[in-house]
Amino acid sequence: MTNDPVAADEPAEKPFRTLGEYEWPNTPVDRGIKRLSGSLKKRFFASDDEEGMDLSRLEPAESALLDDIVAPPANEPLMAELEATLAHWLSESDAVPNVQLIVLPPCDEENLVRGWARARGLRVIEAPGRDACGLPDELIRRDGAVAVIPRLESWFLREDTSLGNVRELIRRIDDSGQRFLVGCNSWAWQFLVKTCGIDALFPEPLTFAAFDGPRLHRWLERLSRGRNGRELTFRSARDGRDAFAEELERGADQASTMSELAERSLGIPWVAWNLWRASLRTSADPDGRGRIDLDGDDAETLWVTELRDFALPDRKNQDALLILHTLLVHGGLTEEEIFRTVPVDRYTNALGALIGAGMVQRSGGVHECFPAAYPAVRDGLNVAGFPMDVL
Amino acid sequence: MAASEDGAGSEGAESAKAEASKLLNDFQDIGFGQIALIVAGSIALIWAVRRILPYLADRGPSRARLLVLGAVPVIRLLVIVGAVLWIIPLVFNITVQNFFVIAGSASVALGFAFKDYASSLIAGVVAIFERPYGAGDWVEIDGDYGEVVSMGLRALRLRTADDNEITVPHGTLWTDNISNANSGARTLMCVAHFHLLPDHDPAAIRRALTDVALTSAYLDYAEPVLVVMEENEHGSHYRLKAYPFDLRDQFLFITDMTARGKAAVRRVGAREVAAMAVSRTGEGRGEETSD
Repeated sequence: MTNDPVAADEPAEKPFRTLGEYEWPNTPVDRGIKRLSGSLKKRFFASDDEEGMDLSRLEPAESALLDDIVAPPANEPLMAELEATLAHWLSESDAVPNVQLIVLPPCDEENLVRGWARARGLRVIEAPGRDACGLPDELIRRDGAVAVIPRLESWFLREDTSLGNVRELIRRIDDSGQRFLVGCNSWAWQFLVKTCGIDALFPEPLTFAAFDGPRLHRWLERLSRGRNGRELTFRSARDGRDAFAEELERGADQASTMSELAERSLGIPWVAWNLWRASLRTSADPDGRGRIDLDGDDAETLWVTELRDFALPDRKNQDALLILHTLLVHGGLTEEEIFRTVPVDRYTNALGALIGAGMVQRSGGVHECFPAAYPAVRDGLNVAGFPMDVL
Repeated sequence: MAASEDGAGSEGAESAKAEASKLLNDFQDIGFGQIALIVAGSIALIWAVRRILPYLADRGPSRARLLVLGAVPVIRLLVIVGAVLWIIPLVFNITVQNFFVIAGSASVALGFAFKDYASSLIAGVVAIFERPYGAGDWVEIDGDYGEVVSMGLRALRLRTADDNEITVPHGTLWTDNISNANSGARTLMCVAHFHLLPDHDPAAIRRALTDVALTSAYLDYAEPVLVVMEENEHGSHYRLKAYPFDLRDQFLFITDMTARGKAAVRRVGAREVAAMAVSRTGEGRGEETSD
């Protein structure tokens, strides 16, 4: 388990790059073919004598254990990369451009930009509310300090009466000459490009480099040691191989657990983090021998199971697709806000069905796309022809 | 000896001549079983293509839908041509002379007995290559506006917005104008109409209507949004033009723009014309009029 990552000579941190240069781990067509071949294989070639673990003997790992060996935050590796990317810009008081845009994929529950800004002690300007008229008084200060707007998607609602505030915000940011760091999700960015021409004012937003197998390997292996530096073994329930040693054993050209995770998560760390947590199982030994003692130091095994496939929403579920799209554009919405932005009648219960299917989660009255479901949602929207995000 | 050789040569030539002038193969030489298999195989193949490709088109990526649907008539034509070319030598004794006999007879028969049918068949072949319409396109032919749901050998079938199915012979191609709203593209322009009394601020109306389209859940971001205004005897006529990301949403998109547009117009202090002359221009053509 303590093998060095395959690409140990690669730098651990990669600076952010210009939007549009994201290297997707695979294409939607590849994913579709894999999904189809996987389901055919399961249906026609599944056999009982396959190597690996009997899944009925496994149970989901306890959340206390997961919080130790796959600890939050889910965007942790990007904090250092964001710091490295912006260090020079921050150090120059007359840096050009004066506005730095960070565009990230959605479902970043811990809010990378806000977390980083607070850790850095920068002034954070929160959205006044989607229906607010007018901008906060403290928006512009002539003190030369960097102000951070962590989520531009929280400043508007996709309604014809609600665009005025965000347009005014963009104009004021551009006119002020003050240094701003603005975070925005990739779906909202495309919407603002269309409705506000934001790319004409801020033409070079940045985004992180996609996480491939080796990067996920380094990060998740480090997390897996937990607070006590424990030694757990992570074995694939499919064939019993050590998930962290696979890349060494199999070679770079063969699929490994980590490269599969990178592909399934679209290279997005918080999606990969959620998928990884959801895939871990412990042995459901009735006498407790399979359980892992949180304070113990013996080498014990966690089983990495295949992740469940979310059913791709298709055009027949147009209401569901419209709701998912508006959730991605806004980051998160209350029920009332959702139905103001989509021409969907509540009686269809499309929102309830999405929550039931595990694609949407509700927290504090706000509905968001569940990170682990994001790749399936994105593929579904892409197949249905919706306007897509760009990374 | 030489005479007998001459006789044999002459008999061979006669026999060859008789063989060449024979139009049909000998009855016992015709492989009826083989022909039946070719016909059955062709029918089965066409049936499968006509079912499988539309099924895949509806479930596959939206942007590939029209491409897949458009392949159906092409494949069907290739299968039919292939089957005919395979069967003809099994039945007929093909020589240059016989070819002209068969072609001439077929032309006369088709020309007199099935003139219109043949005309539509030929127009159907021309339509495949010239492509004035294709499966999945939204077209208007002789006042009927609808989606081309299938292209047969002789006719195409249109499904209107009211779910009526209309059969239109391909021969219409020779005589009528055909208006194609998308021509193979996956989106088409939708227009919402607003008729306003003249006393209003046109700039505010344009801004409000533009934002209505920009915030529609059906909008295709890759295409432009446009507001066109003109004055007429009733007041000011605004047309809000935009594209949905999927042409199948065109009526929902127009309804969404119209409903929200009416509210936007009221918000900026304009009033709609309460009554106006009935005009049939553009009626049923992916356009909606507020009056």
